[in-house]
Amino acid sequence: MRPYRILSGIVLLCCLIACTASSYAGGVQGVVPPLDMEKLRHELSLVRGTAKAKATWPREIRYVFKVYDFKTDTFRQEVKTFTLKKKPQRIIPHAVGVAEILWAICPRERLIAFNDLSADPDSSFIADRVREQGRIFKSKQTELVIGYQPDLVFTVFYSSADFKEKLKQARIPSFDLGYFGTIESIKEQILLMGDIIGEQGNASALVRLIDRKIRELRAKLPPRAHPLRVLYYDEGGYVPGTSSNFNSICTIIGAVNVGAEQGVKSWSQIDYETVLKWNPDVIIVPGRSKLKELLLSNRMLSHARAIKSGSVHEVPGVYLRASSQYMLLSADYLAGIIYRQHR
Amino acid sequence: MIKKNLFIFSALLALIVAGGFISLSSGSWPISVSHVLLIVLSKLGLYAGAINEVEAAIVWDGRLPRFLVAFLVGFSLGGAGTIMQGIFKNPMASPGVMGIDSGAALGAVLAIYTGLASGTLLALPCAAIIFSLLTLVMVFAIATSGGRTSVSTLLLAGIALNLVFGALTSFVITLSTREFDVGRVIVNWLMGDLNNRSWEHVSIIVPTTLVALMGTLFFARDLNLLMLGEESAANLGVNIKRARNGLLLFSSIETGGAIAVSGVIGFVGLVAPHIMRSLMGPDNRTLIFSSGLLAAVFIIYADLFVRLIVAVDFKVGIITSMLGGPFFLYLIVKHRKQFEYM
Repeated sequence: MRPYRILSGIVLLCCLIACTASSYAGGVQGVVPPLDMEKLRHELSLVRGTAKAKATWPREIRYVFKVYDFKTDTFRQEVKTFTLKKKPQRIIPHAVGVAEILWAICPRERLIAFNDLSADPDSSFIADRVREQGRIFKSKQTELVIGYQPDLVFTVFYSSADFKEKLKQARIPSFDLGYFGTIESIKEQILLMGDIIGEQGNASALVRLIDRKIRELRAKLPPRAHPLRVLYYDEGGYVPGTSSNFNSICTIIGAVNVGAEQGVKSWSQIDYETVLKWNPDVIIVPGRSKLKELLLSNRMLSHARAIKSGSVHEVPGVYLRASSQYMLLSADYLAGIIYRQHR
Repeated sequence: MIKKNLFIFSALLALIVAGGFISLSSGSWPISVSHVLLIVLSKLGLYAGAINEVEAAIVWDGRLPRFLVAFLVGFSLGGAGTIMQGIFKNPMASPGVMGIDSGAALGAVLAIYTGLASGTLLALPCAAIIFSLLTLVMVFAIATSGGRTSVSTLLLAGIALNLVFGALTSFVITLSTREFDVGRVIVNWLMGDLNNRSWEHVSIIVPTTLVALMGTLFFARDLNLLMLGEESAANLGVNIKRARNGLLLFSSIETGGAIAVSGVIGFVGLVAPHIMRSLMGPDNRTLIFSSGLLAAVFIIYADLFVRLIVAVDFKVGIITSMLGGPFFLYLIVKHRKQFEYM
């Protein structure tokens, strides 16, 4: 009896170890993405290419500044010029997406501080590394940023006006980046940032890597007669539309973002009745929100296709908010979820 | 006078019934009026034929609870406003002056921020009701000295707590801006919203409305006498302390219950009693009902406007404030001399 018990214990332990190992192999528990998540994450985090020609300083960069106007749901763009006296050596990014891009294409010793969201694992794919690096400031701590004596601060179009104004008063060079909500706009921003920091080779290599990985990802997706219709239902009943990064993620993996399909541009609030009318194949909700339980327990929604088929999935916020090359990780993760059940 | 009052009640009820029909038969999913009727009859056990299950779910589990919540929120806020204006003998008084609105708002905002509200439907309403009652207790504790409660101190304490709770709510909103989606939910809630209301919400507001209505009716005669002045009321046998405290408690329950399920909806509790008082006279026994019905009409039609005309990103609370504010200003200008008697 005793050897039997020991044997059972060993078998149980092996099963436990095997389960744990398999869950880590995919990177995320319970999800089987088409591409190896950890490998992809590693590849997207450090990219080195060869520069075509040595950059000269000072230099003037002409670029298209494109922003999304949430009041009119339209894009606005203008041609601008930016002058740099010397190659920036002390760079501070003021947004997570910018930090993630710089992390991949810029020598790390030139990144001297990060905003707090870049150190938050719910928002940033490089949170652990940023925390190790130290020097984290809150988004409105302009004095701290000035105190670090950067020679270039990357702000974004939604950075607060007073933050930008204080940098200007302190005569700290800052570059205001425009819209980067889709993978195409992210690639444009990567090339522009590479140009500004004098790392064009790395930036081009990252863009090529993104294109290659998108092709690899698409090649691994199961063939379908009709694309899956996916609705991202956020807290408060908000759904993203055409200009959202979620739309771009869906496009990468050949799915239809139902919000965009139904005419939503940026974000719009809908009720349960509209969810039922739109009747998506899959509903995505943010992780840790408990929205899944609410949707599954709603009597009206019990007639919705996604609810009936149990296709309501939680996705951690970091994947839903990605606005950098890591959007590919989001696409990989989402593909792992939605195609697993609908093969 | 009775004929006129009956006409007003009938008109208000007709508007509510009409609003109910429009609410049940309109929405993003087209359902004919005849189907709506069959669904309602079927659910009430009066029709045994086949009905479309999806349409039935939309009407019975989506649109009907939303309509009932709109009606009950309006009825509660109108009734609570009538009591407040009667007790303070001031047409500017509303549930908000006692700080009850902002107390309930703080409770709800905390429930959203801490994540309790996303776990269960009951968390947010419970937090709102608990905080509205706590506010009432605090206001009374501040205003009561030696067993006597001063009306003016009650009012001042309410204003002070309004400011404190308003600041704390702003603080929580500031904290929540870090999490964009949470901040968005809080702001929506503070604007008053009836989106996705269900039978659970109805089950929260029905008991608070019924308890408060019965309690208020019990004290309605006393409220009439209180409006003559506390001394006169006492001479006529009114237990001033009991009547006033009871009325304030019930109006707080009504307000807390309403805010709990709809968020902050401004102005109806102020405007509806004022309009009905000018139409039906000062008898609170009828005024509580008529103000409640008028406020319900306001909210039902404001919600229809939001749902059917402007469709998205507009909230009931915005409509009621946008219409109620200017209308109230008009009343103030028109009747400014009459206010002097108050």
